[in-house]
Amino acid sequence: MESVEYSVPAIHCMHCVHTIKTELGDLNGVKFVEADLETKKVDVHYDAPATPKAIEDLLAEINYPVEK
Amino acid sequence: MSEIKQVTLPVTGMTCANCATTIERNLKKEKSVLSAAVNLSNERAAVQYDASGTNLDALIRRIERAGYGIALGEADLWIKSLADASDVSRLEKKLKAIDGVLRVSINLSSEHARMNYVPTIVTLNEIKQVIRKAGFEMVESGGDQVDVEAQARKAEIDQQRKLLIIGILFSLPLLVLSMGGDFGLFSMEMAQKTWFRLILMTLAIPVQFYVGWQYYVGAYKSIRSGSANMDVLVALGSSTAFLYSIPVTFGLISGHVYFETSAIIITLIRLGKFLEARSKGKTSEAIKKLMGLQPQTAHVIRGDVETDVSVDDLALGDVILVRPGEKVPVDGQVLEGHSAVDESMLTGEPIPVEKSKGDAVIGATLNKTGSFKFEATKVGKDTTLAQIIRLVEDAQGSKAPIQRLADQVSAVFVPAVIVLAILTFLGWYFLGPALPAGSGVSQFSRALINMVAVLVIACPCAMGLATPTAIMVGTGKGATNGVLIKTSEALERLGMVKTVVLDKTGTITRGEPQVTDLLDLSESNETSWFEMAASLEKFSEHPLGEAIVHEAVVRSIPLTEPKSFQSETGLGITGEINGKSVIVGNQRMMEAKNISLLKVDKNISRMQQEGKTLVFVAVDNVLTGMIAIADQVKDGSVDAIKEMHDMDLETVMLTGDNQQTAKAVAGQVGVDRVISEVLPADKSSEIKKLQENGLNVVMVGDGINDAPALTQADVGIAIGTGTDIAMASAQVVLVSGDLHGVVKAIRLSRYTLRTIKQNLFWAFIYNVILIPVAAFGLLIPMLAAGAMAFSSVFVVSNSLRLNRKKIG
Repeated sequence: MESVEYSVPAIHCMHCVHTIKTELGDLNGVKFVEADLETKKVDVHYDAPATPKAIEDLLAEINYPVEK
Repeated sequence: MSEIKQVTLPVTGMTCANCATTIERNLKKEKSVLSAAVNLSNERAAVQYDASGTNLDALIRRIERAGYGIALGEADLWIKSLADASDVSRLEKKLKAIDGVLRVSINLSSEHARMNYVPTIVTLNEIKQVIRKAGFEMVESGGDQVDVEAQARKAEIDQQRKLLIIGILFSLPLLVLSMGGDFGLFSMEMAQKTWFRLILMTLAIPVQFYVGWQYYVGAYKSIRSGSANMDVLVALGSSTAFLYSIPVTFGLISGHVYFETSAIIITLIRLGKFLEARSKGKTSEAIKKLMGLQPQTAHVIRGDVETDVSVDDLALGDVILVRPGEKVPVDGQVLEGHSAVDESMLTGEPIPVEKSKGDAVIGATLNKTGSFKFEATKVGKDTTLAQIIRLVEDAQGSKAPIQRLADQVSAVFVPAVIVLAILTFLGWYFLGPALPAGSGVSQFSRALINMVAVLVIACPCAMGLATPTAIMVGTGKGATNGVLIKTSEALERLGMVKTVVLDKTGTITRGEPQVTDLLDLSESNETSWFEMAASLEKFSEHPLGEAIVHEAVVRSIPLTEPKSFQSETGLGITGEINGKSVIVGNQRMMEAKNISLLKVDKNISRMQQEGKTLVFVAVDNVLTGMIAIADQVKDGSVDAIKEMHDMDLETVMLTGDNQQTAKAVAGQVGVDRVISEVLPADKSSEIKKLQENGLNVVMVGDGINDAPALTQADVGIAIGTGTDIAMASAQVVLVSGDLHGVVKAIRLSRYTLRTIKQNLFWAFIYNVILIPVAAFGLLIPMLAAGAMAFSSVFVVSNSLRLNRKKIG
């Protein structure tokens, strides 16, 4: 299993955390998602077919772009 | 075929700019949603969808899954004229057909219809109109609902009693006169005279059309809406006997008159209904008892002045004084004073609980020994008592799976009985054995009377009452014992479980580590090294550190400020106190610091086998003490687990602890099986494994951390949630933390399930046996009516018997 951690500054309430968790959780291959309101970090564990690109794209699509 | 619908839904919980987009996205994921627009400022979601592909329920689930709520209206209507289970399913269908009405649940025995509705789609008035149009009456309740309800119920019982008395006054002389003819009190000749028969008819008319009027009205309404209920059977049966007797009276056809039959049928069924109405009131007594617990006034301290205020006017943060012998008015936290409070009415725990500063108190509990002041933290509908009442009412309104069977049978029952009755008539008329000459009974009247017997015997009332009355009594009894069962389904399933899975921490044990042993290895006294250890640990946030500090507080050991300290993650803490270097830590810490543990080698292995965690203390690099810490088993856990075994339940302990600690606790409490080293996230999959082995599993846990496992189990029991009843995601909630509550819950469910089964058995068997008996002409209609009345009364009384069962 692979894992990535992103910084997502747009997280600002528990709804954001929930949205990110459910949306990423629906992505094929994603096993585990943790989003933290305090640190604004999103931790994703995944297997194929999910890719970092797909995860980043989805985060951008739901208005939580990744800070590079 | 597509059917485009446009709805507006009131969304709750939108806080941030992304909310609107999130909801829109989620709605659009649903197939057949054509467009979705969410307005953040007025909190409305406008959705256009194709009703052939999706429904309102699915849309609402989408929104809820996205983490938002729908502001649903909640209606609880009291329907006065529900006759039986087929009425219930008819009304249910009508209500469900209304756009915007969700989750309908009707309880026949409490006569309440509860539903949620989307207020932007349908209004309460519109729902009421539909109910009236379907032919049901409602009791309008304004103001204090309980009072209105109690009054109206009393009025109903009074009316029933009046009708019953009138029925008896006319039926008894009627019975004596007509039987008198048959038994030769006076000559058969006189009994055949028209004037004599006219007297009988005169007596029968008020019974038929005044006492029995309600059955005609009920039957008409039921038939008009395309179904048949018990009113139809009673009306048909008694009218057949009555109407046939009229031409006989006037000598238009020869034969026997059956006025006494029609009158007695109506009177006996009235008697049954009257007794039933009286006992039905008793099934909801537990709720009334709970409602009566709330005190009316509270002594509020405002600016040093004590004033008595109605509990309805209490606000959060009010400081309230409670004297000995008074009830705690609302939930809160003790500010000053000390007392013992009897919480048995809510938790079921018989021993009063000591309360002092900082402790939580629950509204409606009884203050025993001392006075105290507390700050109100929950008032009005948020108090524990209010939550309990709401929860029990919801549970009583929910439908148990076992009832579906009864409902399905009832739905086809009445039409089937009518067909059977017609067959009985035809059978007796064409195929019946020849009648002895001069019996005064014609082939036709014999066939007719046997048909009437079939119609009357087959009323499905008892079947409709079998499940809901037992559920009402069961859930009510649970609530007064600190066992809150949220749905009827949970009650039913809990009665069938074979395996109890218990979480360790906080369920079997107290959930807070405590110092169990202090081993002094120093030359000086125990307190000095322990004092230094505790002083250091004051600065660690580790739960073991808290246990050590707590112990110091209990032993009144003063703590000193360390000159320096440093915590080493995973090992312990070091520092300098009173010019001495102090090390407090685990075995690895001591090894790292080259401190020999040789002196305590034997103790280490023994205590570890007992499941204790060891903390070592070294002063100036010499081992001076050892502290053993363990999460202790709650009082009562051992007994409760033993009782579970007596009830033939298998017990399994589930824990994240290592095998050694787990085994030590398991040995103390005597569980059958241990599953240790389970990560919190894997608890639900362990439950699943047990279920795959074909076990009915109940999981007992703390309700918040164990939520997924509680949901996975056949029934989840949340233990000791105290005042956060609504929070717990389990179907069963125990107010107290005592494991004994689990035993009570299972025992109660078993009794209730058994009662339901008995009820259904008797209700069915009575029909199965007596319908053929009636069809073969062996049951006169009057006895049939008596038996039918008896069966309903029997079922209700059998359910009430649950109240007297001991659940421990």
